[in-house]
Amino acid sequence: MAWLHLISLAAIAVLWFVMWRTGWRWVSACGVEDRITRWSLATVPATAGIVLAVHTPAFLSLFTGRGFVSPAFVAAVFLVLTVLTWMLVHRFVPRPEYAQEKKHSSLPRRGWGRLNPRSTTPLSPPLVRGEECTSCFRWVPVVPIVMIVGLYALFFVEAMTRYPTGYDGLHYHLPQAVHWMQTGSLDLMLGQMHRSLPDNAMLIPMLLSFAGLEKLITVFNVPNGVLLGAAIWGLCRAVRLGRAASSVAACIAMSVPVVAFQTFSSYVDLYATVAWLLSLLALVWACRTGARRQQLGLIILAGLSGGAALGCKTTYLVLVFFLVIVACALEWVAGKSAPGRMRRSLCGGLVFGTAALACSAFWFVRGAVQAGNPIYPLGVSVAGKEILPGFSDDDWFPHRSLATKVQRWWHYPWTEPKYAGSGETYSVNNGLGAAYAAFVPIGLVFAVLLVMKERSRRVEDRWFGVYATLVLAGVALLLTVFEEVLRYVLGPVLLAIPVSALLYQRLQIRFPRAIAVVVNVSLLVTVAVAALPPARALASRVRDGSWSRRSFYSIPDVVNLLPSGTRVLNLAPPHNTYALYGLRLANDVIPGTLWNTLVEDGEVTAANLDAHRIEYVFLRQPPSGRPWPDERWPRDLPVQCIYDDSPYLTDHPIPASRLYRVNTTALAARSAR
Amino acid sequence: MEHPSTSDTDRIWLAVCLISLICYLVFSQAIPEFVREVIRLIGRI
Repeated sequence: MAWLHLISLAAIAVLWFVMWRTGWRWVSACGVEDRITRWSLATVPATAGIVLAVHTPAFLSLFTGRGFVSPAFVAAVFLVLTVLTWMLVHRFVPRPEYAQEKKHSSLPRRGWGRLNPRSTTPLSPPLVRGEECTSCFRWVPVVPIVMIVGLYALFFVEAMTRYPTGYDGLHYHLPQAVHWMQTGSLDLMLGQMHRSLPDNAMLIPMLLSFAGLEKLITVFNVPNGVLLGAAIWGLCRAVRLGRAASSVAACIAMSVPVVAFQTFSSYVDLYATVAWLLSLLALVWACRTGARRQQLGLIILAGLSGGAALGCKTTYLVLVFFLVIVACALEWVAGKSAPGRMRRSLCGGLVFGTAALACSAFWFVRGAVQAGNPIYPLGVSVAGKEILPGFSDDDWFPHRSLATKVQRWWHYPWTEPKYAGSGETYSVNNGLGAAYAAFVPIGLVFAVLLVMKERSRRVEDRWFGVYATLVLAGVALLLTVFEEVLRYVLGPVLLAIPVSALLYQRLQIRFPRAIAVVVNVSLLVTVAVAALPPARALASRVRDGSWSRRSFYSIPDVVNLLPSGTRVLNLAPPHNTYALYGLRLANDVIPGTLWNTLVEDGEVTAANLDAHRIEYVFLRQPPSGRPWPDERWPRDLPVQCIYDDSPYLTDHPIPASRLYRVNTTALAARSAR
Repeated sequence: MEHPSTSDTDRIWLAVCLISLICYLVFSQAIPEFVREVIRLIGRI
């Protein structure tokens, strides 16, 4: 089967590229002038195609109870979608000018040139304010770009020499993806919050796990990191900021430590953030285009991208709703005449919402069918009465007053206290970086003051107002319903960068050298601090020569060699769950959180082990001298310790491990008696 | 939005950006942790 999976994955990759080409024609015909924006928006149909291609067999599984999700099925559906999209785009979208030029050109375009068709629309005058400062381009963007490329290259090399990381990813995102792969369905697990999350971002890791391509799972977020830079560039260019300011804005966004660390981890916030920003980018261009047909084409793209974000995390129920409002308000932002405005705006909102549901409806239907709540696992209660069953955020987060939250966060960009996660200050949860702190809060104030002072009627300046409103809404969410989790509002936090680029551009015209020094110093500080953890990790692996999965996750080698379907109970901390799936991702792992709901008080007894067919039990040494869990087990429990490294790891930073093999024969005999 | 390019105002904004960067370098928890870690690594070498 492995070869079939590999061929199917290769077919999906080829189809993705064909879909991207079709998307390019779609976006070009919609009048998007900027090349990088076209490149980034052209990925939206391809991403949406993969999401739909996985959701289709998942729907079949949902209603038949059989496993239909496999790379071959996904490739077949993706092929149909690609052909349909290609036919629709070539039927309804006018032939791009580049093709006609090519037909009559005496100089045929060769090689990579053929992959970069020109715009279908004539190039507009330079989309630039302050572009006259061309000499600055030599000083400002080149050094930041080199620093960012260097940082990401280091991260990439480090990532390719290890295995997937990230607490949440190892705890439930990747285990959920592997569980889907093993069952061939995307069904939820009632009563299990961490096995019931909507997770569009995990569809690619799930497909890769069919073929055991774990190294690619490690770097599955890298395209999202690159797309983020392109989206920020596009959001700057769409409001007519200069190339230099847009480049620096993209560099500042990619220097944000949360972004850099998430690009090489198995967290899903970056995927959702990029989809959300691309959706907004499509809406900005929809506002700029004149023809209604072009506008609708871009609103459909925006909706598809918004839907990809919506199906990724329950927090995007709120953030994507903001985009629906923006889609409805396009007519007002564009300053178009009143007759028919209401009808057109409602039509825009409806098209956006319908396209968004195409990429997210599966999760709502799944929740409604299997849990009686379309937004499961998020529960809804009114006045203490449960309206929709599920989990409340009271179960997850500590509650603080708004005043306390404001006190904790108003200085965050400059102080960066560790409010979430552990370990380094810069991580997947924490850190905005020196460049963000130096420019963005001040630039935001500058832009708001300027918009209020000048009361401009230009469309681009109204968009600055929309951006700033979304940023402020994000900050409000951070301090209220999102319970101070910074990465939940990563999109609005990064959207502040294009707003602040207005100040950067103005200062660049006046003081090019001074501003170049401030940018380069701030980026250097951020890059140096962010580069330390991957550099140290890589150096220690080189020093110890520890490249294996066993040594990376500190698990016994036998776990990687167990027969397919071996059931392993993980009573270690939950982030060990993914590692226990083994090298071939073939074990059946029961995490401790699931075990606690399966059996009363999470007790390990012979009857419980037998009832749930547990074959191995994995333990880690508890912190701060607390007793091992196996010290509380019954003495006659039919288990045998086959691995124990605690004698060798006393006072070691890596906690010791124990692996028990359950004597299933003795259990069966005991049950028979 | 056309900007009235008064150099004094622009100087003030530049100074505020600079102060913002200095505040980060002084107050961010990332910097002392980074310095401590680098010193520790140099000490081990």
